[in-house]
Amino acid sequence: MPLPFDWDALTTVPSDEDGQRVISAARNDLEKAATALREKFDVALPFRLLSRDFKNPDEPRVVVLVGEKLRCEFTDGALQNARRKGLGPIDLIASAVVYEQSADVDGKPCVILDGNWRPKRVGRANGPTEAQMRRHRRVARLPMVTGDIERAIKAGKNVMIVGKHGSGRTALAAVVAQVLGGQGYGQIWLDLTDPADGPESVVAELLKLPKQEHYLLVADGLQANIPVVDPLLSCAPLLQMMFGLQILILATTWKSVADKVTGGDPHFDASPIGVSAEKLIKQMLDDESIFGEDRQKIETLAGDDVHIALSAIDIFHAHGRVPDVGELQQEFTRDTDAPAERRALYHLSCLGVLGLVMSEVQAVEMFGRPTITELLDRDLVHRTDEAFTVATQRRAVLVMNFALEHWPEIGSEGQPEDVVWTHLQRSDRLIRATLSQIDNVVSPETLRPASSYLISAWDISEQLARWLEKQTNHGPAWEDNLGSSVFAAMALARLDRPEQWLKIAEHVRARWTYADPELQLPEPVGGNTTDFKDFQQIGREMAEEDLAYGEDGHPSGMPAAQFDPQEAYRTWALGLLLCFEATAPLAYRDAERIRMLLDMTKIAADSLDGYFYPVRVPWVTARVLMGICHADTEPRENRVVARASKWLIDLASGSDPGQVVGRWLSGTGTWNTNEEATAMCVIALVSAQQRYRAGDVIDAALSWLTGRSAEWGREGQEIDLAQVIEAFAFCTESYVPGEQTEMLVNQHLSTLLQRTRNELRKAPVADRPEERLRLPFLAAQLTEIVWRTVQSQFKRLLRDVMGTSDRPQASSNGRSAMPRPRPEPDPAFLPEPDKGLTAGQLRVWQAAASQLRRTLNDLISDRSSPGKAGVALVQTLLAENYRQQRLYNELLGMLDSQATVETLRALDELGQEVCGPSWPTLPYPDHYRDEAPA
Amino acid sequence: MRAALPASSSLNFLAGIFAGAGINLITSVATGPEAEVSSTKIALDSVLWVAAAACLTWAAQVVQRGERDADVEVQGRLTQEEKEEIRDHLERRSWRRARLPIILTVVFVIGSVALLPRFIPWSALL
Repeated sequence: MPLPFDWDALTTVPSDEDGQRVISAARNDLEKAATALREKFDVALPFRLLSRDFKNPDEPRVVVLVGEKLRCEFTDGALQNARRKGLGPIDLIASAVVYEQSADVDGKPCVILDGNWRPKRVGRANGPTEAQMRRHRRVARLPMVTGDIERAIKAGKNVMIVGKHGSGRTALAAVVAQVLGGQGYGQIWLDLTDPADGPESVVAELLKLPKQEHYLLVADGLQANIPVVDPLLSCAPLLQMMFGLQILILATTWKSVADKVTGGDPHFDASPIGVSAEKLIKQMLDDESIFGEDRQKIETLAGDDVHIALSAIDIFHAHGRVPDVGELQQEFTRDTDAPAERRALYHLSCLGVLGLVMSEVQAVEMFGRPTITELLDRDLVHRTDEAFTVATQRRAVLVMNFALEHWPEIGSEGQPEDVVWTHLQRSDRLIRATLSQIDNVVSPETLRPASSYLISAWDISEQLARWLEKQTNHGPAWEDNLGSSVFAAMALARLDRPEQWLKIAEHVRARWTYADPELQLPEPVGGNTTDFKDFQQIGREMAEEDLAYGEDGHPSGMPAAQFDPQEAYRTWALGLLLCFEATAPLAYRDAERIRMLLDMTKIAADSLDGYFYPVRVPWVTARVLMGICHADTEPRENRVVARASKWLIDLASGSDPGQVVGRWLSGTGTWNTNEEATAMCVIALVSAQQRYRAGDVIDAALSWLTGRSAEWGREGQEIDLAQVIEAFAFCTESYVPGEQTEMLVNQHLSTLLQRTRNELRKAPVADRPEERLRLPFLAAQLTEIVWRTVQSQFKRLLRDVMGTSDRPQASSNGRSAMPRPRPEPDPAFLPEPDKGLTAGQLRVWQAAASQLRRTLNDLISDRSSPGKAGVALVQTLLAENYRQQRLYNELLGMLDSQATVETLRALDELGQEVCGPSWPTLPYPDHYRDEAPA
Repeated sequence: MRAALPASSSLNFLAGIFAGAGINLITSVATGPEAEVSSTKIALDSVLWVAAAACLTWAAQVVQRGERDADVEVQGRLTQEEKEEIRDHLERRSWRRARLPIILTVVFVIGSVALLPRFIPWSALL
């Protein structure tokens, strides 16, 4: 009998129904689930309902006691959220168990989920199917290794099976898990290719599993979702501590990821056990009694992929001969004639190249249930959890290449990177997970510089996220500093940490009031925040600056004596609060607060000139302008924006018509630099979409900033550096799309990343201006820059990683998903009257070049690990690989239909040298372009 | 040419010998026909035998870890010569790391043999 894991009574309650009815209905459903489980067996992590809690009549709650230890309370808001997001009763309780715990009045652990809780889909922890197990048993043929793993687990150790793509890691884990399952180990199988699999999935499974003495948590494919590794690993000790559940982890991953996680970031204490495809394939061939030439052919064809070897062996037994690459491709795409099936196979293989999967819901929506069922029945795609994929990576590459070469109709689906990018854009979580694993797919040397910057930038933004999370948990008030709080919150929102954002918001929203329509500016509740001291100091700096200007006074016409720190502080706060509320995570965005703040900007702007107080400090106006632009969906239509922008533009224009100064003075002496003020004003004008009006001023400002790089690039000027980089990054998108600007941004971004990394390690300097908000500010800037860079460069990065850079692109800028030119009906080597490579021949050369590139990448990656640093032979061969890679890059640039005989011969020789017997025989043209006429 | 270094299993075997045979030795001495050895001496010698066995097990663990590291490192598209050199390099490294436990083992074994009751008549020599 299926267990009632979905809401029943709750679904019958309308969403606008009174809280009491929601609570009663949910209580019924939870009670039903608890009883059904109790009746079935003794559950690993049992739960039961306590009496309803009506202590607070405005907010009644359902109270559940989990494992007789943890009290979980759910308000009607939380229950409605769970139902809307598709979380059933078990998922809801699992989400509560891993949620942040507090203590109830008796000091016992307690979790409260209310309407502010944002539910996340909980991935299912389904193990392999019987058909998959049959295949796994055929692959996992090394009883010694299996025995080692079993012994380690029985000795109470976590184990990590380490191996490359297609080395049989999953098969080994599955076989070990099955054996241990028979010996009383409860099994929880997480396939981390599903981004929703995490600690909640583990708890959800424990809520349904029968009680055992030990549990084995199989975390298959750690590399697929590195951000989830840390919470997943910390969940096992938590469950042991709270509920006494003995959970051991059996993980599978690549060596690069194993090095990373055993090295400490995040830390996983596990015994690594290597698994080699080579040994497994040898064992398979021995078991099948395949020797001699056939054996060699299969070994060459399989490369390092046991699954390919298995398929090759099956074909060998069926037809009595070893298949070639083409036949293998035919086998993996056999009889796929229907356009929908071809489309599905192409999409899934493109995703499979990066180890990605497509959820069942999405696959059914895109291709229809019958198509997917048909492909599954014919074993052309595979099911993992609630998703589909083409695995392994090597098989996915074969299928993708076959589709590109033989199925003209998939041209309209776009290039492989277009398919992947479209898929990733469905969820930020997926982009994050993919980016986090991408540096493990390829060695950094093989990527173009922009892509390498993107990866290291992503890496450090993850470090920043962890730092911000820690600091926010420690003190969500950020020492009562509005600037720090807002910048930290903006970064946290961008880095998908909504819970931490909410903690900060609770403080900020309580600390500032702006609901009163009589107020001209936001007012701090209970005295000024610590930022106010900065404005007092700014007043003193202004006085010193005035002395330097002498009798003429400051060009703004406002002497320091007239500066009101309180008004400037509150105006600046207006800008910050706008930025804060407008960048809130969607679930917590409060339209009413944003409207009140926007209304306030109309009152606060100078009625004559449109600037925001003080006239001497343009960056305050710039800050408010940025806030409005974040909050207002149509900033160009906003009169306040138009007037403030005009004021900024006039300030940077010369006194003579047509003259452009191109920089803004900070007006605050040595507190801020002119470079910082200029960069902020540029960002504000670009955000305000004042391209038409401010084009000249922005161009002049960027030129001025470029000339001042020695100033803003100095050590200790990181805030300036971050502002200037953001200004350039903004302008790269909107104004100056050029590789030079992009390179400039990337170079300085890498400097900023390095310095931020150092900042995170050292103690703050007490007497530096803006010291309090230094790191949160850098975090906010960096995450913003990185996110923008991700948007603009990810597709190119994917092209690098998937090795499709060598293919002709759909459009010159790579942005459009225009259909590729339709391939010829029969592309193979049709003679053309012209000289040079024919279209068919060129495609063969390009495919071979891709193979060469991948082999070189693999070789470099295999030889680059730190453990091999002291091995002379490996280092010599690595240097040789780098030389070959440089030569390859040179030759690739010359590989087109007009390639010379020298280029083709050099590439062919290089391919034979690198790839050995797997290098194909390549077609040479009958006549070369550079050949003299006979 | 690869260095002929003993495998970790040999060290484990030897550790078993020390723990078992050593204790057997002193038991037979202590319970022999002329058993007049003080309990303190027997206890001290037993401790030394066990310490020698423990240090050798420690050394075996270090060497075993090196072997496991080597298994992980030799994956991928490497030539046979590279694999052998990597294995050799990592095994040498693990033997270097095992120097301290091995030295301690030797010291303990010498000490325990020297202190075997009635093996060397220390009172007559000193």
